[in-house]
Amino acid sequence: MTGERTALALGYQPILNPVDPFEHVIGPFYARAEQDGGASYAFQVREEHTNMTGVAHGGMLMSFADTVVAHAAFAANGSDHVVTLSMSASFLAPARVGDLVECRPKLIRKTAEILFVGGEFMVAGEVILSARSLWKTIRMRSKTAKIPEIQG
Amino acid sequence: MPAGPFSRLTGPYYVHTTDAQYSLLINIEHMHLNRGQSVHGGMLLAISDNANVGAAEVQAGGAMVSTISLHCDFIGMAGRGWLEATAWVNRKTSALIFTSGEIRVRGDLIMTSSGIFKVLGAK
Repeated sequence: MTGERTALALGYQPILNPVDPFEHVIGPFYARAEQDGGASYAFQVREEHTNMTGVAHGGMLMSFADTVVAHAAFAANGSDHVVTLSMSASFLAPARVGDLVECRPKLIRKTAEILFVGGEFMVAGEVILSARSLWKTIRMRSKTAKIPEIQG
Repeated sequence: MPAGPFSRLTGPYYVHTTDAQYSLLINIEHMHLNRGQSVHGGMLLAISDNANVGAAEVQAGGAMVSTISLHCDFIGMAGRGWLEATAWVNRKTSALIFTSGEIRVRGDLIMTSSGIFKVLGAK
């Protein structure tokens, strides 16, 4: 069985205290900086990630995929904000309890407004899920411009 | 009915089925949110998967199905409170079921989706 030992042995570190509450519920996720820039991500399938057929729930795999491509989109866009436009996933093979699911997301194209991100999600070197995702860049208004609080 | 371990972890879901469509209700709480206090994108994807799977399984006569592909468009944002996801079957062959779905909050569209599912056990 693969597991945390394997994730750590592969050079991954757990993403501690993720800022999104939902990622506390379904995590932990792992990250590893790559020498030529970018990063790889991983999580280990646990029993609570499974569906009634006993393999990783499609929604769990897509939640992980969303988080991974989000990291790539945020990294590609510097400090500006991005929001998801779409996620398209092909499920090639099941992931089972104990499997370590890994992905190194790729920025495929960046325009002024749209980021095209993709990733192949692997278990033991085989693709189990292929994801393509579009993200929209949001120009942040002046930091001093805040929504006025309602008085009284 | 999304009743497996992952749906218990991220639910609970409430189900309503008619001949025409399959509906899920879920109450969004703090645990489902992202840093912006909106529903996490991954949670919306999981809800859409469950709704499309549910519609496909009803069409399959209760047989289990596995997701081959799912496409979701993020159309609007939602915070805490009740979400309703509905899905319906567009076509069924002997081995495959094609579905579409949407998520709404008080009538406002949050996500649209379409999926292709394999009927488990079908040749």
